[in-house]
Amino acid sequence: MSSRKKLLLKVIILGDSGVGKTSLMNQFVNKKFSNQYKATIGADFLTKEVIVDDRIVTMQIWDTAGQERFQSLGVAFYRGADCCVLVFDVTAPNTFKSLESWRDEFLIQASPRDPDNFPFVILGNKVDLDNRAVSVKRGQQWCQSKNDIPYFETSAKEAVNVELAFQTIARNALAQETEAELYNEFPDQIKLNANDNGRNRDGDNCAC
Amino acid sequence: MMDEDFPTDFQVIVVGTGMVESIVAAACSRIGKNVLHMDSSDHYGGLWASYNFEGLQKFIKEVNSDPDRQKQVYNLSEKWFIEKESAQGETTDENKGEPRKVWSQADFAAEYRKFNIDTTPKLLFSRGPLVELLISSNIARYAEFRCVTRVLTWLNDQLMPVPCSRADVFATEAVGIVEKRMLMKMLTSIVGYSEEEMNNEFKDWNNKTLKEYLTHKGLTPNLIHYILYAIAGGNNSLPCLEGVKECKKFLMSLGRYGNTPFLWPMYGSGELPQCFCRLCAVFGGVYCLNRPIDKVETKTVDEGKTVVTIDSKSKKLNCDHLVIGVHECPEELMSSEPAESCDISKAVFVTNGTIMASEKEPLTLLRFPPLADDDNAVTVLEVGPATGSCPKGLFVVYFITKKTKDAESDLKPYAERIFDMSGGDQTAATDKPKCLWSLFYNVKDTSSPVSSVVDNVHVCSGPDAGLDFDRAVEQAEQIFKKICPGEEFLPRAPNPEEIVFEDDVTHGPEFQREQDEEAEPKE
Repeated sequence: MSSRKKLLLKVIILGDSGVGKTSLMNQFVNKKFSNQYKATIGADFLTKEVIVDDRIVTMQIWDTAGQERFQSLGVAFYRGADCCVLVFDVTAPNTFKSLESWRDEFLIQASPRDPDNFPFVILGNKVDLDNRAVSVKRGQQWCQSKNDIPYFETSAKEAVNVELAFQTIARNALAQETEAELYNEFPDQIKLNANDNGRNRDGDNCAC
Repeated sequence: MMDEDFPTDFQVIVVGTGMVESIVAAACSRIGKNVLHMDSSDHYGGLWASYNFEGLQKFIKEVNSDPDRQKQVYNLSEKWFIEKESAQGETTDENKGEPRKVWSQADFAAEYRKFNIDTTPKLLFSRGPLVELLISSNIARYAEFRCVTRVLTWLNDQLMPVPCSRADVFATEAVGIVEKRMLMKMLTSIVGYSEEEMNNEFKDWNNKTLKEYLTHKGLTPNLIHYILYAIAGGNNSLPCLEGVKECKKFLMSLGRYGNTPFLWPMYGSGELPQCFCRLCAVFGGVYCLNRPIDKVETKTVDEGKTVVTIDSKSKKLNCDHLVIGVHECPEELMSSEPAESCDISKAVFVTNGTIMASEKEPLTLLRFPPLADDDNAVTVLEVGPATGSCPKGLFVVYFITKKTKDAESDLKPYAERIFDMSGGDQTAATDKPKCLWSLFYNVKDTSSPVSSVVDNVHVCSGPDAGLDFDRAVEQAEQIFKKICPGEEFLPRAPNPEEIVFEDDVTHGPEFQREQDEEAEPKE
């Protein structure tokens, strides 16, 4: 495609509470890790520029903000997602079993144009821990059965495969985008900010 | 399910995810209150929600089969104007340029996800309180908008664009040069009045109407029509000062984002409560949909402090303050029934084209003057595919007015002016778009404030019939100030990259220092 100046990819991270979604984001963007578990507080979305095949891409990675804890993510969260990262904890088989329903939930809520080819990536997180309960093979098999979703085993704590996984996410999202041309389905949207292009200066009744 | 780790003690519990409740939840969480926000249904928004087509069918079914769950909605009637299944091989009639798709009910069902239909469609004034709040709180980052591209009115039995900006006034061919000058003069003076000057100028007009004032000023009937019905959004009995204030609000919002004073949220008004909920969650608010409440009790503990206890799914949840939507609130907690007020008549239509052709996809506010003497003015919003409201080739059109008789009798005569409601061949050339589907219903007006019998239970009003969200914002701020006196209402949330996690791993040995010092930017 011709020269697009700036590309923005909306990436959303899903998975059961406590699998390390916020930690993975934080490791990828801020190169930081905290061992202290805390239901997500303060995590919103993080942005990072990456280069994919000579193109500068801004990844905007959206955290669930803890709203997944009691199955209360609203449809607004899913709007306009370009790719979806599904995370489970290799030491907690239940979180692996949930992958299927997270994937379904995403496809229903986000309703991408081409669900069969929508870019997902699966991350089996916490491989630094000893008490692993989901084998590599099980993870791979499930991903193969779902139209060959890329699978990575990661450790947010030790920064294992995190960079690689997110690079893949960006590349696949981009490939999808150029193929399907679905980028910016709704052009000319307005984001509100303080520096509006207001002309009507004299009548500024701003109370701040 | 996972109920064992459900926390039970909160400073603030918010029940219902309507606009007012969601703003209060965000404001409390933002300044550090520990908030639980729940809703009895499986989606956000309550009576402010938007639905895809399937969700809307569920809502309709619920109103019809379980009126107790949707007590506020009545007189609902849905009608299809198209076939169940499309006949085979009929869309190939391409002799006249662009072939028009022939829609069937099955097509609506297949594309149900592309619909976002609002139960409370509202606009934002570009310089109104909600836009300012979204910007100042930084919640604007969760939402996107489109400009309303035109304001129309119904004049001399046809649709007419309303000249609202200076450029529009000069460009319009609908009024002559003398009228143009008159209109400019009137609009300019209204914008120019300060609050004080306004009260002064209109002190002798207290018991008179805007129409009388405009007539007195020598405006022609066309100009009076534009100002009274389209700009002020009023009717013949609109009091003068109130009407002038409405005009000023309209004019002050011009020139910020587009050609008209209005913004429409992408995917509909139902997105906005969710934006506030997200901020609440980001600051630690706990979210729980699908969680009905059974009972609300209050008990006085030490030092006369009152604690509110809620029974929900056989669990007891305690809080210092309960914020509750009027529709979820047990009657015995309300000190009075909501003041008697006029219910709302609403209608939604899906059509196969815009009501007035335009170069680009339009987003339209149409203000109908009352067509009969005892009617009220009717507000119409037409939104298209670019707003995420419907599939390509269709438009969703909302009608809202104060109830006189019932929704269908109140609104159908207006709809018939601008739609072809005869059913039949969708490809036939007509001057009006075909109505493919319609829904009429009445909603009880629960927008007037209700107080509760307990000091720390705060009741949130339902949606009003007005064009904007201003009353909801105002009420949310009042409730917040009662719960958190002296605290700032939704101060700017930091951008994500400015947040320093308090549990961040820091390098080097730890030492004691003041917590607040840590917020310095890192290189």
